[in-house]
Amino acid sequence: MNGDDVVDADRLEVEGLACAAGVRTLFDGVGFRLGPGQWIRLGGPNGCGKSTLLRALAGLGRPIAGSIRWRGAATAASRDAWHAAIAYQGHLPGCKDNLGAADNLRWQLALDGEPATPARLRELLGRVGLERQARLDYQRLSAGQRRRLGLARLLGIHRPLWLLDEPTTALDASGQALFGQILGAHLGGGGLAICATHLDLPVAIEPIRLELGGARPS
Amino acid sequence: MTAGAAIAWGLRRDLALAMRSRAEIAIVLVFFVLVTSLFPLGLEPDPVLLAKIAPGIAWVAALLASLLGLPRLFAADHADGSLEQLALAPAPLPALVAGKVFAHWVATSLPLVLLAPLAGIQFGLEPGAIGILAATLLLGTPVLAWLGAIGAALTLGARGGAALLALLVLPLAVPVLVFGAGAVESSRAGLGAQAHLSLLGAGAILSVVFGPFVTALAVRISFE
Repeated sequence: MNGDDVVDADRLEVEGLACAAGVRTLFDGVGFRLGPGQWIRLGGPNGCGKSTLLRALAGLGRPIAGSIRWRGAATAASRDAWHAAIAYQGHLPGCKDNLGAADNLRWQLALDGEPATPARLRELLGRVGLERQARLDYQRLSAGQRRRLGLARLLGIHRPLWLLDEPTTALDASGQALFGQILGAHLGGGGLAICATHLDLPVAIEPIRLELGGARPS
Repeated sequence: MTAGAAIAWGLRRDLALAMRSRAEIAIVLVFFVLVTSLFPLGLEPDPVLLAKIAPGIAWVAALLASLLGLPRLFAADHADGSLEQLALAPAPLPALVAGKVFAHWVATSLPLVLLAPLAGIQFGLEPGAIGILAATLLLGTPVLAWLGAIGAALTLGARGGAALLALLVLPLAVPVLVFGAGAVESSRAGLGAQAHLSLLGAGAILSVVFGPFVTALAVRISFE
């Protein structure tokens, strides 16, 4: 699916990463390497810093120590290239309540620099089972349908690395299976992904497990 | 995305959103009309006095009205996560921000410029003075919009952001107010409004050139 964008050099290297919330160190010494077709299942108890780690990776927070390198270059130093390589979906949907599902997707894809023709939008919404909700205001979508709209965005953009925070929360069984298929196809095409989750994701490819320790002496 | 495409994206999206929330924009305009209408009622109905204070009142009302619309510039995007996606987009953030602020100006300040002659007529200003008042608002409101945008980005996530924003922006807006309201007075005294308009124009150019970068920096800081 995303194979055309992926080259062999797609590689994420994280070393000695540490993040803090206020004066409390959430985690330190986090390191891993991720290559094409691999994904990390990020686990750990509530409040251990999973979301903070994803945000720090994306560039929405500043780690207190450590290095993040993409294709061998520090991400903080080459921000534009890094932003063009990642798709980040956090807790907040990034959607407007008073715009329709299709309109929200259209603006997001345009921002991501992807084609957003009506036919393309219809196709993407159809693949996540939202074709009948295309014109419905975002605020009237159910929590699961909102997640599905997020999946439609992932289907629509071509980024090698996905950073997903609790991607399957509120999804029904068929939605979870759909997410598994989408992530599987992404990885199969040489993509990379880091998912923070408490749930077992139905993905054929075995993840690298990364557990952030809970309470630690500070 | 190129800078031009990013500006167009921000402008078109925020104008589309503004069209969806016309009531909020109407409140800003009604506020402006109400404030300017209250002064003749509160003061004595002396045409000479009213014509003398009209520019100052129109400017203070415009300043307060533009403050009223400011919190919606970034706070909504911050709350629903759109601002995160803007900051992570493969597009120059200053250009995206510039498009947003331009849309904000078109939606909330441009109508004030068009409404100002109405206020001028209410106060019995002569036609020449009304033209100068509208010109000062046209040049001065972009400065207010950018000062406000920087303030709005800096107060993102702060408790009591809206009140803090007013405290932050109002003192900085004083020079704009002085030169804006002073232009009409100066032309009436026979000195011409040239100098005031030039200074306002210089301020507008400065704020349009530097505003996007400072605002984008403030947005990035809000995420750290």
